[in-house]
Amino acid sequence: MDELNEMITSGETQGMYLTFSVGDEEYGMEIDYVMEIIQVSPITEVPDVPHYIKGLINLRGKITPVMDVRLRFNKPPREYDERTSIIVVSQDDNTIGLIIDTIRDVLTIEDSQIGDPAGIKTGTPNRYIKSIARTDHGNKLIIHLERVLSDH
Amino acid sequence: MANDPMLDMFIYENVQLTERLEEILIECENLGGFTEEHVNEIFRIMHTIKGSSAMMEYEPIATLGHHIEDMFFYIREHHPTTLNSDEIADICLNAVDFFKQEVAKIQAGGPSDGDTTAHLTRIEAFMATLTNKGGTPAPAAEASPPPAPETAESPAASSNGLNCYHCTIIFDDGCKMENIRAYQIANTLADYAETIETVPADLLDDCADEIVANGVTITMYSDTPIDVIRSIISEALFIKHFELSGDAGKVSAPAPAPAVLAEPPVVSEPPPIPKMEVPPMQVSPIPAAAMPAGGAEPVSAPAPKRTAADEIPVSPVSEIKQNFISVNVEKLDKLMDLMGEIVISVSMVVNNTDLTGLQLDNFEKASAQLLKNTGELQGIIMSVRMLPISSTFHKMSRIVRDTSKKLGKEAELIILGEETEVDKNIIDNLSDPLMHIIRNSMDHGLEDNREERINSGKNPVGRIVLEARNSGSDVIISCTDDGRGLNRDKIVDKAKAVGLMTRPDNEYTDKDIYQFIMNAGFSTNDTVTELSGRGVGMDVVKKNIEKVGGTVDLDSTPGQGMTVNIRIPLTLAILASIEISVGKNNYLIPTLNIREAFKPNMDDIVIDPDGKEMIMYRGECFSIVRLHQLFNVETDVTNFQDGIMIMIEDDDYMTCVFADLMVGEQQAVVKPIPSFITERIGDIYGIAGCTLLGDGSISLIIDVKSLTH
Repeated sequence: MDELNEMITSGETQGMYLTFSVGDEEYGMEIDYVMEIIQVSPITEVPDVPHYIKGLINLRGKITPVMDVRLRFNKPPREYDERTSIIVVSQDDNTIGLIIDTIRDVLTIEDSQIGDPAGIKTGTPNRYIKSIARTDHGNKLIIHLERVLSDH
Repeated sequence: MANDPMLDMFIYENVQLTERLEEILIECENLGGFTEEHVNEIFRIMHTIKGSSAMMEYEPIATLGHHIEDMFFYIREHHPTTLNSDEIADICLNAVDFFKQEVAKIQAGGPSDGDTTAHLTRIEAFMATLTNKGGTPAPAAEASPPPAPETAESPAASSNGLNCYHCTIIFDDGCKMENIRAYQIANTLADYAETIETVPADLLDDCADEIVANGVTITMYSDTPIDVIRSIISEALFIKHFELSGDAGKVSAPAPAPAVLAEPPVVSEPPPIPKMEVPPMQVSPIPAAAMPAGGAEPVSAPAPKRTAADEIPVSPVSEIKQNFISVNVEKLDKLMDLMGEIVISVSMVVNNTDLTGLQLDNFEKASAQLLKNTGELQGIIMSVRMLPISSTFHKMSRIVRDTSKKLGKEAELIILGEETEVDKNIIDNLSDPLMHIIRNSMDHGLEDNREERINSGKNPVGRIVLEARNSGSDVIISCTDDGRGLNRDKIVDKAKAVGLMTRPDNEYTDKDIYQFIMNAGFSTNDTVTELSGRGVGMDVVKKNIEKVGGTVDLDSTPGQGMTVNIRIPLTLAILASIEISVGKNNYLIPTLNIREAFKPNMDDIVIDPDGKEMIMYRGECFSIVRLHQLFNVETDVTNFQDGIMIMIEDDDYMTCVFADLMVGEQQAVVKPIPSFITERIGDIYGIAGCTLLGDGSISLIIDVKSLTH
């Protein structure tokens, strides 16, 4: 994890993606969004929020909301284990933690490797998926972070 | 744009100056005229406003400032015997409003594009009457530019005891923006000078090259000792060298330079151009070193002063200023946030669970020291943010003045306890509500005319008392008028009509009834304003005060007037609270809102047909809020005997909340729920905010107000 964090903070981010898995699928997101990766820390529940918002964590003194990506993708809940991680992303002025099953790797993906999900024959593409990348490490679903974080 | 420090400074300075100006004007109006000192001070303020806005290229402000400065210049010079001080005050106050408007525009990042025509016409008209009355030949137009022509024609300047100084300044090579630097110096000097001229004439024009080549020459008439002028110039940056010579009129004997200064100005003609009849003084970096031993005395006793007030330029104000620095509030906010973090970090270290059971004498000692120091630091940081409420109060004088003119009612404002200190954030939020309250008092509270007041045995001049005082951890601000007071019956009628009264009339105390007028639906109705006499914007007042964690209540004696009491916390930063637990979650309740906590007796529990649970306690019935149900938390403690009942109150409204356990006391630094969540679902019912606890965990703060009301 420390190694990954170093890669995240080391300047060059062009074409770099952080890959992770939720359930059986592997996902990727542009590393520009990612601030750091941390282990699951105690979460304070907040009443009245959608079920995929798990609550608040203390990120070095900053109170940060966390979202369970598994629940966001409408998958059944699963106990957190030692591989469960939180990807801290920033969007506008917000800092949000995304809880995912397992962190995989940081990959460089060329634009030519990335395809439109609409071109896939499986029917309507999921609205949280922006595109699909074909890599040497298998196919990665590139997530549409704005939509994942938006309130719809 | 707003991050530009020059601009920040400009805005800050302008706001300060306009506020001060407003204060003086109100003061003058109360005095019924302008004293010499007032005239001088207004003149100086206008001058500074003009100078700084010209430098920042805010033309409208500069123009208006310039004209008002001229007006006061005229008043100062000619001492018109009959002054319409009302008109002057009106002109100036209008100008103050204009400045405020423009500065607000600038602050918002826009251009300053206000129209000064109306102001200028009024000033000109006024000047015309002034000059005619005064019998002075100079028409208004000529009176406006204060510079040399006038002085040159008349011997006024030097016969008034003014010295003429010539100064040539050469800037460091390559220091850039020579013209601006020269302008700044000239501008500073202008504060000390009756008239000032520069070569090149327009420094704001692109004349940097000329200045690089020849330096800038400043000619000024001033009664300020040469020492002072010299030190002002030498304080400026990037000056390679400068020559300063003083000349009190045309003096033949080329005596040692300082002595010349001491010569009383006998002859009228001011020398046209620095002809150096007097050997110029080469001022070395060590000022005064070049002065002959006897020099000090003559310099310190310059030409006779025209008036005592003219001495002011070397005012003590500049000395006082150096004890203060102005700091961006954002920085203070950050500092305070950080302080909150530190308090928490310290307690995380000191109470670290890794240390439990260990015998650590030195650690204990060191941590005690650390706790003490952080405590002191916290106190100081809090005190930095505390400001006396006086400026807010004094703004209200203006409101009283304006409304009283508009309504034709006489009223005086009495200010008590203006030195009371309140957190800066709160002060910023107080102006609007106070303004509303005072307008209300003026408009609806005070009787319409003198006769009505005299008939009810009151002083014909209405009186509004604005008072601030400390009370525990709160500040109470009260505004009392001696007008008609509230009409209970009419409020009751109206409240019934809009369906606010849910219980029979006689179950309400007078105070309860009065609170109705702060209800939104109540006050927006025009007819209410007429019949109850109050209500305009009272709901706005209440909302604004609640925003900073305060409360408002009203009291009134019919026929005697009414009082609005605003109670606000001294500071919002740190909240003493009690930690409670429900299931695996912890919550905080502000200690101030806790009436008591007790183990409920099952016999006292009452359940109504709707299944609503209530408890009889000390002969009163309170509704129960089960926190585990409210916040949807799993817990084993669902029987009332197993948990604890906490009675919370806000504004006399009380409710019992049921929790598992009381954990202990906490000092909480209140933080908002992250906007990511509130944007999604709005405010969370029952939750006021969150905080970090000493062990690094996050706790939610219970919103007592929403649970009790």
